[in-house]
Amino acid sequence: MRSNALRLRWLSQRNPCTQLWTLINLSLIACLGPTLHYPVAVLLLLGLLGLGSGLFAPWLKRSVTLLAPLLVILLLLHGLFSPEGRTPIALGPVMLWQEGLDHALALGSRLSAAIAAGVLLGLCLSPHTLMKALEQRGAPASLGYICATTLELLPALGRRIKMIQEAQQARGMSLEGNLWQRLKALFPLLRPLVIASLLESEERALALEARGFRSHKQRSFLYPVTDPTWERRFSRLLPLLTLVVLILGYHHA
Amino acid sequence: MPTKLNTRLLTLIPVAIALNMACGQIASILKLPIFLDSIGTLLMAVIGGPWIGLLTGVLTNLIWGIISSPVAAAFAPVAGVVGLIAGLCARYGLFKNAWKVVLAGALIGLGASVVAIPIRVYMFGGVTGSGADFITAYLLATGQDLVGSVMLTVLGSNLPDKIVTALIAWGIVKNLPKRLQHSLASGTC
Repeated sequence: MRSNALRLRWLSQRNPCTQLWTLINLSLIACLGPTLHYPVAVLLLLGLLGLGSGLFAPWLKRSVTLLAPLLVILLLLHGLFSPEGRTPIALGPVMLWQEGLDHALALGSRLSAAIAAGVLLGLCLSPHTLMKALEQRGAPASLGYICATTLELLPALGRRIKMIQEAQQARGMSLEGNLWQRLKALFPLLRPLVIASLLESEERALALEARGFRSHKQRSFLYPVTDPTWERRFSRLLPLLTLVVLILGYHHA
Repeated sequence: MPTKLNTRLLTLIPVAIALNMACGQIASILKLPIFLDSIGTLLMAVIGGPWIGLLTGVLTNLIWGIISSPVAAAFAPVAGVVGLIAGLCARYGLFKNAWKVVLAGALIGLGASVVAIPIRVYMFGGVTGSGADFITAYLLATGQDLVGSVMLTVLGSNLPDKIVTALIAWGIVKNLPKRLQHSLASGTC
């Protein structure tokens, strides 16, 4: 039981940069591959990766939720109204175009693979760990600061918006009404929000300066993210592998 | 000439990114026909210049892509171009009076559309998953080609959105308390 759980989690414990780079390369293979086999193969591989990291169910659920409306509309839009349609297929009272459906299928499969890869990325990556791992591999510390602070600020900003909204409503601002009234409600909401946020950031700038944040190019971490040499080598090899797969694909197509 | 990313600007960028995301939600709460999700990018572009605006826009969509929907990440170049053009407009004095701001907003909207249309057509087949698809379907049915239909829907939503956002950003920057204006202009705290 315990070894099963460990094996399941091995994939999700890889360095975030490796995970990011792998999923980006898989998306590239899916989108640039010459035939439909490539996005389908990538989707299957993503499913296997999801199983291997214990994220299969949430990955499937989120991907289907995101993709289903897009794919249905894509098929309908291109099937019914394709401007390149020449071969009609009658489906009862409805007339569909073969070329439109083909195009929708090709595009839809590539889109699905790319979005499914993005969903898996969102599920297995924690933005904090990702920024740490990127910094360890050489990204500027400012980028890590920006992402970490943004994620911290979001819930705080949401609370502040609610507070300002209630305060302004107590002063008579209305959230209903016609378009012009609603647009007018924007300024009393936004102006205090922006000014308060700008003033707060002043304190943060002072704190950063006081800690000498920008004085060194590279920071060291108390709890670094594991980054074994084989993963670094694998990351460097990935673009070559992608290129080889694509070149072979186009050669055989 | 890129603006130096001093500490003050560095602390402003996360605020702008969070503002982008939060204001996008405000716009849907108020049921406005505009997105309002580039207000932070425009503010940073006016305060810090074109490259800071570009960085803010791109990072907004990338972060949104990781925490929420990967579709947003696909439109990161659009957000980047919004910041870039806004910064250039600000640098060339287009944020001085209301009419010039409307012009700046139109330019930003045009630039954003130019980048958004190929992404929409070639990556998403013209589909957005929103109500705009009905308009696209109608235009296709009346004989327009896909690029033309997408062009009309994208321009139709981007131009008003960017013009209104530019006016709001200008209004806010113009009316900032004097102390903030000075500290932002000099890059000190």
